[in-house]
Amino acid sequence: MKFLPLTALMSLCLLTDLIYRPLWDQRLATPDVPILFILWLASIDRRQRVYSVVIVLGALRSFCSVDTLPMPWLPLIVMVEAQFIFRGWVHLRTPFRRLPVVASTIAIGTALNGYLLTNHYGADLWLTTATAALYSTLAAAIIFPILDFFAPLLRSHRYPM
Amino acid sequence: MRVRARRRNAAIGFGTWGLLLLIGLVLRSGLQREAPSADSPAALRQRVALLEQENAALKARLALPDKLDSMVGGYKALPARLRHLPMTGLATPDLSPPRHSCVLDVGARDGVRKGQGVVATTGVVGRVAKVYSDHCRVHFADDVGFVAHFRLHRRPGEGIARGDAFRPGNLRPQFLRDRVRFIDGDLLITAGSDGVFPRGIALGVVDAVAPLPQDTRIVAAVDFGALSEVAVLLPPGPNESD
Repeated sequence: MKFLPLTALMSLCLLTDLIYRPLWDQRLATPDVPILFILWLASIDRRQRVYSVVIVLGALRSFCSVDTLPMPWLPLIVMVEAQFIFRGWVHLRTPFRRLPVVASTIAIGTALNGYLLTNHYGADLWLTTATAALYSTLAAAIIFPILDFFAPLLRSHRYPM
Repeated sequence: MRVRARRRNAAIGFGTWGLLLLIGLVLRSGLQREAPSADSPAALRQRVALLEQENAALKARLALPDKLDSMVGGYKALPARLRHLPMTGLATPDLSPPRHSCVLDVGARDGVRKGQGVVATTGVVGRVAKVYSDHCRVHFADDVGFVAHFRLHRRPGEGIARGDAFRPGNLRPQFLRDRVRFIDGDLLITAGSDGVFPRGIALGVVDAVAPLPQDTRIVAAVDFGALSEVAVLLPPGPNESD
């Protein structure tokens, strides 16, 4: 399963998120680095391993947040599934093709998260969704090429990626 | 050869990521300073400054119940302190980006229960969301999960205010009684009817009036980034027997 590289990468993502979040601080429109990592993994890896990381992040967010069910889990699962669907249509190994896909996935996740939090659709939600998609795409453009360096570390016989 | 290539790639990856973290830390701190040696005058001055800061925090904590006595009426103010991440001095953050919460160093064994109010000398901080034996997690007043009954200071009008999910540091009026007309600079205070906050604690100030009262922006009275000492409000009834 390559637990060590996965744990190291998830820890780095959480640390990056903690360091950079106060610089953005736009709540729903803040790029979420651990989710970007999961989306990167979902674009190249098998479902079992992606969900093992999803479970870790969901559990962390359930315990270290005021979020209650289904908040930490539902948008995460929907985003991962959306990424798998997009992966069937677009070849995501091409660096520039995967950014619009990530933008769409983040937009779906943010809209769902915003609806779960506020219980209404409005101009604010759509504006926030668009901003989140834009900022996350910019963040993904920086983080994905770095994550690509780690791809060989995650390769194994069971998960040839 | 393949193993060597993997290692090289991993080294490049970790190095680049380290650089990314370093840039973030520099951006956060504003400027990079040279660390002084342990016995240098600069280090001693830094240590004295830290001890003075700690002393001031302890004094503030001791004085907090007296300051709050006039504000909280029949409630008992339980002094508490925000927990910080080790070595960083940052308040323990919420791991979910859309949420805004902190951890306090008081818990169930101190009489804290879910839903109780948290205040500072400047106004409402938030409400207790999760309680553990020795600590609790509080959602700040600008978190979307926070709800409080408010009234306008020195003018008729009341309603329910909720944290704004889209704008940090803001609240939004939700359910308004009668036709409330906000004016820029209006002070919102707690109504005291919800059994969580006593009447008259500052909740926020109207910042931008919108045509629809529900879209009016209210800036929270408390600066959440500068908080250290707060008090949990224990309702008078059940805690009097303790």
